Amino acid sequence: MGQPVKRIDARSKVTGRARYVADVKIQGMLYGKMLFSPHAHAHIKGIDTSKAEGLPGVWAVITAQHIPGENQIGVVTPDQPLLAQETVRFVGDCVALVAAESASVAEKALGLIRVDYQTLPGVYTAQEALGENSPLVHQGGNLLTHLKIRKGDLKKGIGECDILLEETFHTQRQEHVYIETIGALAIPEGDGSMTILGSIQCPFYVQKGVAHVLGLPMNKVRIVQATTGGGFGGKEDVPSEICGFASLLAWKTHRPVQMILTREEDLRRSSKRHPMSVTYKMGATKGGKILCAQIEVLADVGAYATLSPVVMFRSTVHATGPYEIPHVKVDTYGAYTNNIPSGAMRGFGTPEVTFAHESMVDELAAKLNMDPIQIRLINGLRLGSQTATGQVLRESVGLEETIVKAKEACDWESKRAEDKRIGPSRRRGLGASAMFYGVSLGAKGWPLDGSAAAVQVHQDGSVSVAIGGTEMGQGAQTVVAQMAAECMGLSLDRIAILATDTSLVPDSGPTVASRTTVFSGNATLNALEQIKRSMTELASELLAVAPEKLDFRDGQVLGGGKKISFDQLVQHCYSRNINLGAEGWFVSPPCSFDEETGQGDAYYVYGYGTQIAEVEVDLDTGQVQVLRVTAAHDVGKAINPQGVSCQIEGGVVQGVGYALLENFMMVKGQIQTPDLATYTIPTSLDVPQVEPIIVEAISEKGPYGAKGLGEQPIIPTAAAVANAIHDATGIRITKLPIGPEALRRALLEERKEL
Amino acid sequence: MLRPFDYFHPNDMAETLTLLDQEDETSVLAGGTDLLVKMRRGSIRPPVVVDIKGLEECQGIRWEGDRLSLGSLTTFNDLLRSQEAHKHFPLLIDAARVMGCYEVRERATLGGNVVNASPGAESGSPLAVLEAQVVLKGRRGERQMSIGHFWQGVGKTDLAPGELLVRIVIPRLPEGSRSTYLRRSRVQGMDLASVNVAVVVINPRLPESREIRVALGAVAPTPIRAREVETLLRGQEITSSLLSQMRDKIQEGLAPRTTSLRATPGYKKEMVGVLTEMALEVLLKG
Ligand SMILES: Cc1cc2nc3c(=O)[nH]c(=O)nc-3n(C[C@H](O)[C@H](O)[C@H](O)COP(=O)(O)OP(=O)(O)OC[C@H]3O[C@@H](n4cnc5c(N)ncnc54)[C@H](O)[C@@H]3O)c2cc1C
Repeated sequence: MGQPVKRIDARSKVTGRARYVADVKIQGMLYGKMLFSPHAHAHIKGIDTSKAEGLPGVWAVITAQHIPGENQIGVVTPDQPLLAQETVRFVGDCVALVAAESASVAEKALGLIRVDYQTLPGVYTAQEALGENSPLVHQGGNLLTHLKIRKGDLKKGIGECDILLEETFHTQRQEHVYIETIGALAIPEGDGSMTILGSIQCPFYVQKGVAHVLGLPMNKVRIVQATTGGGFGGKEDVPSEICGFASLLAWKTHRPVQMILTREEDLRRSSKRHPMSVTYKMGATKGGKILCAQIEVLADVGAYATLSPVVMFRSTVHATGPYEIPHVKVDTYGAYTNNIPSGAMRGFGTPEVTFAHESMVDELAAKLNMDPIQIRLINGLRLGSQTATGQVLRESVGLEETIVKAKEACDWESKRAEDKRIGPSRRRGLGASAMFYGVSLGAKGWPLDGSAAAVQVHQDGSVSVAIGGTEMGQGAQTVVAQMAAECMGLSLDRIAILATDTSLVPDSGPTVASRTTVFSGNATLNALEQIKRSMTELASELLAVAPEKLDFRDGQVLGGGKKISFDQLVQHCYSRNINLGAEGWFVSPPCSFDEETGQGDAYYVYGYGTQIAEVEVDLDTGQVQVLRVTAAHDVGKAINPQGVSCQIEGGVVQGVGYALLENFMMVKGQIQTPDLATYTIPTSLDVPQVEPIIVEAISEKGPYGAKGLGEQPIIPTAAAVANAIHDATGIRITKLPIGPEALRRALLEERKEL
Repeated sequence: MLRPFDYFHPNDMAETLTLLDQEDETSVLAGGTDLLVKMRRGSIRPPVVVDIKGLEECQGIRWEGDRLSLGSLTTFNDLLRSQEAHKHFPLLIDAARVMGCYEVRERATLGGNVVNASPGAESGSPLAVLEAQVVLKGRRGERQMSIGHFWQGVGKTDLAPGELLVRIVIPRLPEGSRSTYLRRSRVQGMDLASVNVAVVVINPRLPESREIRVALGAVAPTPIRAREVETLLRGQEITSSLLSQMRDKIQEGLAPRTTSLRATPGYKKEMVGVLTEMALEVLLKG
């Protein structure tokens, strides 16, 4: 506990023994494929599948009309048919499915399906979508969601400012690029039920979605998570669609059906990070106290809502950044377009607004002739501060410590003072950025915010833990095992964490929002405490020591000068029929959010962080190299410090990609970056030196004081890089990604002005 | 998805040429790093594939009098291991170093790179600036031509059906010449070049008799020589005003693809000048 440990799944993954869904082949298995719409917006006039059905080796061709249950898969808003029926709304919409004896036959069959489309005019930006007389993506109108915060008196705030700045920022669509594409294997069981093995972040979503589509009760649908190679939000809701496809084909053919997306299919179907335009008006006193923020966020939701209403909630709550600002007005709009759906991605609506507010804060500092660190310390949230939603922070606010530690570690003062010129056409710069992030689902997701664990201690004293949260590469199983080992006084190798399975634990909500350490951790501890109580009672009797004096440590139960080994005590329990199994449960502390004023305790606790980036800019080419990122993050208690460091490193790299490079481009609804040759992410040679710093502001409600971390490290990186570029060149770039062309253009323009 | 095809692996040149002559849609397979990508994508579906890796004649790096001969099967890692390339043609080494990744370099051949005829191919501008010749062989005999004539457009060459690229020959540069290759790419790891330049300087220390050769990649349908820039720079003192003229001149007549996601035409046109200047700075130093 609190010591760096090797991940319990490291060996199986490194040796290639871990079993991903594509590794599983079973007797009689068929291969599923889906037929995409070529159009971004079109009416389906007819589908002729007869030729495809006649192809030898084809077992089933399915269209919307064959769906036995309801053709609806929307996770938050019921706006998304699983298979397009009358209308296609983006180029990833699917109109038909094929199951065949091989993937190549299935592919051939797709080519034989004739779909008669009548193309419709579409809308391709959020601005366009909200214009008058714009084509409608859905009948109810293109505005999906509008969230607000009204705090203080904006007019008064503006009046009291010595300086008021306004700027609009633009962020792009980002793809997750998890290493394993989405895949599913649906197995129809003899009793009419369906078992699905898949690459999945949220098995309980899949269970509900598949039951709905198949018209089965939920107790007839069992979801087992296969080893999953990354998620980053991309496997939150989209696997429900893919598992839905595979299970429809399995239901129809009575044979197991495997569907493994190619990278190109995955890129075309899976949701992306929201493109946003955000306008900030921010004002401060001469002394650097920020008094007001007026913020408008406009997000391109794409063709379906997926998780957008909740993503927008996060953008809204986090729009002011980790600062105490008395007068705040936020309006967040999400608009439907005929683009690929925007959905969940690491940071969930926060990196977008953070790029904006951290650029604004640096601009304020520059205009006030103030050190960027200083302005953050003046305004930063601390214990007792009130957030933009009026929430008073009563525990675990590590922001200031992250600012100070990051600043010291990167040698801020001397580096900022150094000459920026390191060659005739090369400049160096240093930029800071701070963030906060509500842990778990918050007020908008509170009804989903309970988690379970089922634990048993076996006859030999080994322990199995089934949790409702999933391991997708973030190291969740290792921290839960560490906590279980600590709680029972056992070594880590005595604990096994089972593959997440909806038949083992009650609905535990999604594995998102950096909530697994806290929620699966607390639920596990809750279960273990129950078992410990029974064991303590018997130990007390056997040892004749009062129960409160007994301790579980080093594989023993000891106290009052006496002891019994854990394993022996377990045997005694078994011989007396004492139950050593238990189920644990943990529910989020209450949260609230008033729809009209945006006031309330939006999340039960927040994580905080500060990153400082050092960059080198080539003035001739506009190319930026990120040399070093110092990243201090407050995680509550770091259960596995090595895991925390790895999450920070990974988040920073993904953040550098977001800052400089990654852009999932669409033109008129057509994807311009359909593969990984066109959609580029940082390579190992582009990775800066990352220095993770762990700050531990203990949270009373977390297991051993832990908070969440998974998403935080990607949030501040882009702004830190943009601020460093500004420090190096004096140029403020307001649009991501900051490619060499845009920067060079800006540099040339500035030279002209001089 | 790969379609079924007949696969041949002959070890004999005559047999190979016979095979190539028989079928219209036969594909030659060298390293396969372009061919297999296209076959999987379905953009070509050859019924017959002839693997030429067994052909002695297409292998090896050796001097033929005053010309260095590189067998078409020379891989990029072979180049990196070649003393001759290091000593005489360092720009080939610069190019090989940034080509693909280690695994790709181990398979990818120079011949494949040349025949694939991508405008930004790594060997493109270096071979153009070195005035390389290609040696082609078919059942009706052998012919030789300059590489500039061999490339005819994006993915198009003068290779006749049934013909094989056997080797590439490069004339020795005068003693004391210098050369380099520079490129821009979106990432520092594996990526294709957004734009590239190859520069050779003959007689670097004697401005009056100095000759500067420049070739550009990914700014036209084939790699091209910047002849007017070469004329501009020949025998001249390199001043900042000359360089500024060079940067303007080099853009003339360039028409990069507008559909490239790697860089816009405007940026590419500016970058060839910037890269040429960077190259000259390195080559003329000291
Ligand atoms: C991951 C990856 C990264 C890459 N990175 C780069 C890069 O950075 N820079 C770059 O320039 N390229 C790159 N490429 C492209 C490719 O590797 C090169 O073009 C390579 O040199 C092709 O050689 P090959 O031997 O693999 O050719 P093959 O694929 O075997 O053949 C290519 C074409 O040439 C024909 N051919 C091959 N040899 C002969 C011959 N002797 N006579 C007649 N026809 C012949 C084939 O029929 C085919 O049409 C990359 C490719 C991949 C897959």
